[in-house]
Amino acid sequence: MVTSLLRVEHACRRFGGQTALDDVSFQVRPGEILGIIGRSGAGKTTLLRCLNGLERPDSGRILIEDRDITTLPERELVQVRRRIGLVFQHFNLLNSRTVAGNIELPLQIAGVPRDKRRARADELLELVGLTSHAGKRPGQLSGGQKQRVGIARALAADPALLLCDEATSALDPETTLSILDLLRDINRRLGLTIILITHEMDVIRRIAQRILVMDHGRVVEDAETAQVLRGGARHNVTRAFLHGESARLPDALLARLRPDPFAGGAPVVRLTLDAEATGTPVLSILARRHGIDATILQAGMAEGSAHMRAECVVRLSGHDDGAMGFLLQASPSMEVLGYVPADS
Amino acid sequence: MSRLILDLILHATVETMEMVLASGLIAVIGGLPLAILLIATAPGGILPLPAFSRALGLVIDAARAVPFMILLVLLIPVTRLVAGTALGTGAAIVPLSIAAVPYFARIAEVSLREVDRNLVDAVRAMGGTRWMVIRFVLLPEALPGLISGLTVTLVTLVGASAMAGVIGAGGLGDLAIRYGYQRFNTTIMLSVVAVLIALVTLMQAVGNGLARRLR
Ligand SMILES: Nc1ncnc2c1ncn2[C@@H]1O[C@H](COP(=O)(O)OP(=O)(O)OP(=O)(O)O)[C@@H](O)[C@H]1O
Ligand SMILES: [Mg+2]
Repeated sequence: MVTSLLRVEHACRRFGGQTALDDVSFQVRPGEILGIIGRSGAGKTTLLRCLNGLERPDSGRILIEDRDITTLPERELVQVRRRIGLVFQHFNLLNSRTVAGNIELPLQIAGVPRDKRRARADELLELVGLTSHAGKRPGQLSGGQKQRVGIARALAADPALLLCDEATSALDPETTLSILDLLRDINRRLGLTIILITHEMDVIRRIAQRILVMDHGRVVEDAETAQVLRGGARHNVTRAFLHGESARLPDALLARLRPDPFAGGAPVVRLTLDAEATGTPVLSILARRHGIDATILQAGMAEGSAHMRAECVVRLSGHDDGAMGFLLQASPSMEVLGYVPADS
Repeated sequence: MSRLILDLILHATVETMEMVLASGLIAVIGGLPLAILLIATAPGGILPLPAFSRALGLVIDAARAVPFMILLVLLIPVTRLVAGTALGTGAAIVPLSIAAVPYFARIAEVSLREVDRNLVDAVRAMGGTRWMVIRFVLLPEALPGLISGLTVTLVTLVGASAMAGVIGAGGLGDLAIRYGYQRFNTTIMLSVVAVLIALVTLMQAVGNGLARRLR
């Protein structure tokens, strides 16, 4: 049985004097959504290009379904690539073809006969909600629609793995959410494994089960997303990304917020409650059962979401494992933003 | 204008069109593969062979550097070999084609180079072969530019074919020289110029229209 769909072992890649990948190792399980985050130039795109053989690492191995693709000849690499879908930041659609023609392209490359291609393209157009746009040119679509075409095209040949390089970076927040919802939906329905590259923590928070943080070509953090959001980040770069997130907090709060617990410090957490949880008196239960008071510092609706989601930032009167466990149940993406002096 | 003169002009126009279209066709058949070869073998291309690319570029530029008048004369032995004669419309097609192939190759190369590299990567990432990259990306995406380039080539060939009149190629150029220049027949000379202008304008309009529709 294949337990890891993809395994990267000690991959290194240099460009002249520039190290793009420095001893990168990780695994991806089938059906998982892995988010890779890193600053510009961290090596994310280089890593992704190595994963589908567009780029070869100088050393190390990359195993896809237990086949090392770093040593495969071009002819066999072509076969492996047909098992991997790729979604681009700038869509990369052919304007010489219609929307349906773009979606059919991977099938045409794989030698699928025309009538089957048509049928499959229709299916995918429906999946991404663009049936009425089949005959248009990509240039006539909005950014969000183009990315839906990009995703449909990447899915056309039934890939085992979907790679997304900054798939939402060129889109506005609302469109980003709808694209992420689509990806999560595809992951749930088809059990498709997704690797998603981004430089926005928000994207990771919304969709990735696991997070890989890259910095200067190295993997500096490889953890469950929930754990990192709960304050389990080990590396400074990870914290910097988390901190960038809390930029939306009031300045007065940010000034007092410290990343690590301290004596007399009260945790500040961000809770996101979806439709079911909004029916539960979460804060009352917290007070009654766990004896912890919550002061609301900020509250609102999570912006632009398809489903109703309430979001609030609260200061807890104390730290307690039982209470944290309960909150995590109510809000799986709960995030510990930091700690402030309890008397403030 | 007499019936005779009209016949002369009509006949010459057909000859010019024959020369231009035949050598234009050969320019595409010969020049397009050369352009693709230049792009593919350039550094960062789909089959990088920089030394080969540079050598090919040099040969193409050398051929383009020779003035057409000189080429006409230089090629007379070759023309005899290919066409059996150095005179007439058929014979003129040989030097016209040899000039047009490298000309169109360079023009087509520019259009092909403008195709977004990321589109090539996208098709490579889908498991497309080099041939598929050429067929599904380079040619269709560059098509409007290639049509515009072909239009420019054809217009240039109209001018060059008139010059080929010097070696008795027939066509409008030949007519202008024989009647206009040697016999001072201003009517014929002006008529020929008018026909040439009309021909070029028409070609340009058709080319522009096609390129716009494809874009
Ligand atoms: N083809 C190349 N030639 C030379 N250097 C390269 C090449 N590709 C990448 N690099 C270098 O490797 C490093 C990593 O680049 P990469 O594109 O992987 O970063 P990234 O994490 O994707 O950044 P971004 O967020 O800006 O897309 C950079 O320093 C870059 O300059
Ligand atoms: Mg990148």
